[in-house]
Amino acid sequence: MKKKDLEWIGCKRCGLEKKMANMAQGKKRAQASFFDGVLFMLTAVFSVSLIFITLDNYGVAQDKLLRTAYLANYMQSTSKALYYLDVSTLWDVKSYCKDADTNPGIADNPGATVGYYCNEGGPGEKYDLDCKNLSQYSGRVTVADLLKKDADTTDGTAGQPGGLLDDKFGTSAQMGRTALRCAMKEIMKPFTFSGYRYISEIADATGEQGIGDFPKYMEGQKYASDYMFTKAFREDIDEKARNELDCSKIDSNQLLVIRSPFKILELNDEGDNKGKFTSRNYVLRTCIWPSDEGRE
Amino acid sequence: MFQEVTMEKRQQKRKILGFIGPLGDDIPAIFPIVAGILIFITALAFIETQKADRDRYLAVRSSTLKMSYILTEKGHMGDLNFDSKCKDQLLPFGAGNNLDFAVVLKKQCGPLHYSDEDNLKLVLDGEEMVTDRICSTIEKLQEMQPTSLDEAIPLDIPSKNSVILTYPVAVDCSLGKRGLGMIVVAGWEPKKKSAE
Repeated sequence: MKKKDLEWIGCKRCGLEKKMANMAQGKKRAQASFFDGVLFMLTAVFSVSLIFITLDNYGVAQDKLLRTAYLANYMQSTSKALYYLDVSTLWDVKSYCKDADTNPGIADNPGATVGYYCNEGGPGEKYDLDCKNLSQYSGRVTVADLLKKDADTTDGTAGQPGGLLDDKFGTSAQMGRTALRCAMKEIMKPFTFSGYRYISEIADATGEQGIGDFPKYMEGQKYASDYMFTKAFREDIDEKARNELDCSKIDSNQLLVIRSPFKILELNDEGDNKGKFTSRNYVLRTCIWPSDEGRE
Repeated sequence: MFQEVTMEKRQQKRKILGFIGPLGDDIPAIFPIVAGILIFITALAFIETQKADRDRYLAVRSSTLKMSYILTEKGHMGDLNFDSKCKDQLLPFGAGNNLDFAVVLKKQCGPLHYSDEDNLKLVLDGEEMVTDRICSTIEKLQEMQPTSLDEAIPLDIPSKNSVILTYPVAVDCSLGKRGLGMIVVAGWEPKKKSAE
């Protein structure tokens, strides 16, 4: 065999080997590319997940805490302001019916879940908030002054409970309840319009449930609240639950209850303690919670 | 002689398999790896930026809240009390906590009007001579004079990292009466000097 022939055979074998080697190399490269692609995808997914997981929770608890602190401070400021606020300046506070022109949707609106009852009637009507009567108090009579007078429990008849917050001091008209309602309606506006409910009331500081010694206290709804004028309160809650309502037991994980000391000194005018003061340890209690009405 | 032959054979074999070098042979694989690392580093940088931004917002919120505690010490805020608090407590507090602020004492003396825009206006009630008051670290705001509601221009509060808190308070009204008012506390992060 000639040398030329041998070279040809060798080259033929060489080409075959090259072809086989190239095929093996191609397979390996495909595998490597696939692996690189997967690695790239994993890195990208991990990076994006890291962004969401880290930023989703970061600072949320602190922000919530600061917002709650603001709400608590607002409520405390409310209680403090009632000690200085002259009732005569509240005569112009309007009912939601009168607000309806400027705030459509707040008052009687069948479609609105937070709609308020609208009634221009006097006492006994659905909406009893006649702030105009407060103009009769001239000078420096504060909301707290009237409220302390109205916080008598005897209602003019010795031993008869139920006189607390009935707009009377004994038998004379002292509109503490009206003053509290008008003041709270204005002060709580930003929260009312943001879907919060509140109840502000005088309670016994030593009573276990806050209502303490005041039987049938809730029956006359003797507290200040916009909640009681809502459809949700009037129609959706049954009579018993409504009468036994204790706002500090509202089923909401965002309920905030502020109790401010509201001590009343009462001068005894009969018996052995005549001429001496009796201390009544009351508190001005305000509950606030976000409404879940209309939410599924 | 034997070694030369072996080396030659090895080089030949490598040439046959297309081997260029440990890095050079895998150049295409480097691109996704580098891109992945870049994405990861960018993600970390983005997270740090966002965290720093939130930290700054929380610091502003916390400082503004602390300042509001000074203002809501009592349920009543008189003009003299407001001015003395501004000079003796609020301005040093703002300087010490790296906070720019504007505090407005709104005297509504009746029903409250909660409007974000109106809350930041200084209003003069011409008939009753009841004027709103302001305390601010920004001189041009501090020098603003109350005007009628129609003419009043809202205070210019930066929208980023700013907090506005309102509180109810009893204020001095006409005829020596105390009516409803609001303390509006706006706090924000000072602009960097280089950005000005």
